[in-house]
Amino acid sequence: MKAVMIVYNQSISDEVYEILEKLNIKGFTRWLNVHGRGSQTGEPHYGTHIWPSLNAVILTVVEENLVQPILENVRKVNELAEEEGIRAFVWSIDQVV
Amino acid sequence: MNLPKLFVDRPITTIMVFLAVLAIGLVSLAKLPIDLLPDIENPVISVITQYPGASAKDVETNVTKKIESSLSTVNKLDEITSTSIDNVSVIQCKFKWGTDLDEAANDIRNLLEIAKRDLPDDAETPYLFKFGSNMFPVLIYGVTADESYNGLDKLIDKKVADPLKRLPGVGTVMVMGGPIRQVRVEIDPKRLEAYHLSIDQIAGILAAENLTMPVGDIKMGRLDYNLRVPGEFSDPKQVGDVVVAQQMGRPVYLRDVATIQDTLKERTIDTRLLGGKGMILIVMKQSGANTVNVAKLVRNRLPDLQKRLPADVELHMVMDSSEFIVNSIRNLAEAVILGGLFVILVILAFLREWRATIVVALTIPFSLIVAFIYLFITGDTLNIITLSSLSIAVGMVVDDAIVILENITRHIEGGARPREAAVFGSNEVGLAVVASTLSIVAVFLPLTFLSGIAGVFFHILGLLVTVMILTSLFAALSLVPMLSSKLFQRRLEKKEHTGTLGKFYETSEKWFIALENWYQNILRWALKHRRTVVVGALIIFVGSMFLFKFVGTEFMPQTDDGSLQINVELQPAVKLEQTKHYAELIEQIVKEEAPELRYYSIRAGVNDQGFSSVIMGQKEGSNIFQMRLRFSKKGERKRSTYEIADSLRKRIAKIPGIVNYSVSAAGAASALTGATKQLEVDIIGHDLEKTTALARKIEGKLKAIHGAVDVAVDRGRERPELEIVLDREKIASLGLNTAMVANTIRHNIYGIVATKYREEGEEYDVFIRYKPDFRHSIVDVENISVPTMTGKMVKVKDIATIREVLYPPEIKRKNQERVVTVGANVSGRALGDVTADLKAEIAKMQIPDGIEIEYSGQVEQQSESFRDLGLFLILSIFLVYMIMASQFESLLDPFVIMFSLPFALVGVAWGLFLTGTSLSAIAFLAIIMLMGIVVKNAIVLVDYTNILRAREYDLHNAIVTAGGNRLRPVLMTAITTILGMLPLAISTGEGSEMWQPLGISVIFGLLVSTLVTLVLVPVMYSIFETRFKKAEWE
Repeated sequence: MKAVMIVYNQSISDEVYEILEKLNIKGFTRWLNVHGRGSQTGEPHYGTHIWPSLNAVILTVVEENLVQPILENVRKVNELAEEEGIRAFVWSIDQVV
Repeated sequence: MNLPKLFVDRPITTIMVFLAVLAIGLVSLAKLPIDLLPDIENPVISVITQYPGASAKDVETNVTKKIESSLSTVNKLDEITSTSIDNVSVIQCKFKWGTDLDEAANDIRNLLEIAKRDLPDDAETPYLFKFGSNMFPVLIYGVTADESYNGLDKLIDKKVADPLKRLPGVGTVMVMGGPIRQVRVEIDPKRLEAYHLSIDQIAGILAAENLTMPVGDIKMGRLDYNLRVPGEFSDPKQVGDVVVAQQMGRPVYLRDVATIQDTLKERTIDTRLLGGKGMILIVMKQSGANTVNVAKLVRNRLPDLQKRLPADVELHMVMDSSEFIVNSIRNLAEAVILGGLFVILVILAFLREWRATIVVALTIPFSLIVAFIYLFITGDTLNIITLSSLSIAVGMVVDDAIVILENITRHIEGGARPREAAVFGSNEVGLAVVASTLSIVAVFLPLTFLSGIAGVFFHILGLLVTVMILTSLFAALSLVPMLSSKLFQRRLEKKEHTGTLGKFYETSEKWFIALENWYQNILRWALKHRRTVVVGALIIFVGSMFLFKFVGTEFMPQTDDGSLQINVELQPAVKLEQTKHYAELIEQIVKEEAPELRYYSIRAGVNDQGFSSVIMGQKEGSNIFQMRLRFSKKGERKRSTYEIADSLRKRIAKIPGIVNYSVSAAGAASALTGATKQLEVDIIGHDLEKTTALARKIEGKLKAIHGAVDVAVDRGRERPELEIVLDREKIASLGLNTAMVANTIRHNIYGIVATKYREEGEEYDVFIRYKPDFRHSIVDVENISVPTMTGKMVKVKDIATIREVLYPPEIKRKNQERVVTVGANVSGRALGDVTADLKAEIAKMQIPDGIEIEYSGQVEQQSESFRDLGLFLILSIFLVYMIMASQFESLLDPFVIMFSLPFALVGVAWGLFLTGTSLSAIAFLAIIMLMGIVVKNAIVLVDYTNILRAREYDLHNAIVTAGGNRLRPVLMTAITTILGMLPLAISTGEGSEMWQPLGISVIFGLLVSTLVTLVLVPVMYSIFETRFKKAEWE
């Protein structure tokens, strides 16, 4: 089991939902209106007048074989809309109740 | 609340909401009546009191003064003026605009009840007269006739006026100046004397003979008979058969002592139309009725009525006030549509994308339609004020949509889906858009607080523009995102532009980028030479302000509605025949000078029947005539009516014997600013001689000032009168009194209506007076016989002396002080300049003690409304500052933006100077508007610079980048506003003069201030950031 956290600009939410749908991933947790900024090129997303955009976060725990397809799709979205901003982070899950 | 999201999520709801508004709007539009002006009630109530037989001076002391002093306490009274002429006192109470006149009329009635007790016994009861919009003639027809002239008045009354009155909305239909049938009994005084008769006796006998009386009934058998004595004349000839006396057993018939004629009344008014005999038919509407509808109904009905008239009777249209209304409205409607088209073209040129253009352009009809709904709900009409408001707003309503759309597009270009981009793009700039919209509202909404006549004009303008701007804001936050989300394509789905269109897109994009680069280079240069830029701007500003010295001022722009009115006053006491001769002379001049003439009518003398134009502030007298001219339509002639007026003035001035004359606009539009002259100087003082002398002196000075025309003193020259001064002792010894003698003389000279002759249900006067041969000299008056109590006759010369005296024909008062006014119109120069010259001249004069000089007329209205507008200008600037301060959450940033404000003035100065337009209240309004519009552009620019600064761009970089980024939206909103108003500025149709100064001022002001905004504001920004803010930081 792996946890995949996708942090993305809210303006590309639909693209992210499509990834989950396409891969038939049913379970996820979603945070809306999240602030953050990237380490290298990313613009801040603070929801302020200066940086008006906002991020959202989707955390989904999936079987290991689904991780690569997810990352593949995230990369595609990123290529498509680089200015908007999307990142995915993966880590292992030890136990699930 | 997230407005964009709400609507983007519900596209069907959105469309339904907007379609519903559209449907309601179209219904409202169909039901909106058309009129020239908003329903303004001229807040004047006149009190008219007849005091028969009193001279102007007596009327003033015994009636006018007393009523005036009691009326001076009426609530909300603005000014009280009065005119006392022979027999009549007219007091005008002017109230503040917007006063409830019904309430005021009640107050006046109550006070009159008290005042009545102080009035002389033989003064009649005062009555109130309210001049409403229904008093203004809707249509004026001239009626000409040849053979049928003699019965014309009854004919027209019955066959035309009566049927017209039955039409819905038609109020009074007046017939003026026509012939009136009269049975005239002209007495030979010598014969009368021989039979020991007097006119009074004859009048009594005629009245007693011309009588049909029911005398009861008798019952005979089974029947009941009514008894009557029929004595009424059935033929005018029977009047002569009446026996008036017995002389040595033989009857004396009336025809023995008099000639009896079935003829026309000798009128003291003479009306001529197109050089022929005729009369005038005036159609007025009921109050609240719609001018255009009433005129249409009457026009449609008239051909039908014309058929029933004899062939020689013709009806000519003299004035149709609906024509001017319909034309002005059509012109303005065209201006709105044309402005809208220009705006759409600009958007298309900038965006080069039909979908985006449609999205933005839809806000125009939407805001217009909401404006119609608003007008319908408030019960207003489509008039020149409301339509001009629409025309002003049409270029501004797209601004919000442009900014929103631009940001949405930017997100889509960035890769976002249209749906997401629509929501986030709108939210990002939503606040800035709201702030910039509020800055526009801040300059328009305060206009609704304006008072006075300017308030009447601008009140609805302020409200309507506010409504439209707020509507456009709503549309920008709802309709625009929704449509964007549906109509726009994602970046990857979008086809690349191909073919010619693609080439066009590529090339134009290159041009735009080149423009942006060029602008950014200018910005870089300006930032390096900040001092040069600031000093240069200062020089331009100060230099341009001097231009205002060459720009004249006036209250309202003069409009050319194709009509003129010539008023001519001859020496006092000139008889009507002589006046008619002068009228023909001027008729000839007009025909020679103005081939553009289409129709004219002349009215000379005093209207002895019915309505007196004294009530309307016009003069009447046997020595006065008035000529109304109507010229061809504006497009069909080369000269304006003002040019024609000038050429006429030159000719009229050369005619000897004319004391005063004026050539002025006569149409509906001139009624806006009142019938007063443009420039009026009131000389207030009790001494009639001194004030008249001073008035003549000022008149002389004013005539010498270039640009002043139609100069006249409103106190007529003293009129020679003959006074018959009775010797009271003598008449008393003969058992007579003043009233008896005066009545006898009146009946002989003026005449007496003895009885009425009836024919076919109509009544005609049987009028007795001396033959004209016996009314020609002082000797004739002296030889009048007055019967004494003993039945003997005594001559007037034995009991009275006749002397010639001079009388002022009228005395005017203002705020309970005698006043004489020197008035003038202005031609070829601005009103303000002529006034300034006159003031300088008057300052040099010796003003006697107890005399005060005041300026009134449009000058007064002008300075009043300029003062008001000046105040509102300051208020607007404050409000705009406050909105910006809250928008930027900074007290300093707004100042940066406000540096562009003075340059709006620079543009206005150049615009007015180059086009030779005067600074009127309308142009002043444009300046106030500019405060909001100019700031709007700068807000967008500075706001973005601030954002970039906060994103840690360095100062220089932030300014240059923001400049490049915001150049297109700034140019776009500025150009749409400019082009939206272009039709107003360049239109030449009927009524266009009114709003031209506004169009010119806004266009030039916005042009200059936009250019300044783009360079000076960034420079000021950098100065503020480096100097003040640094100081703050430390």
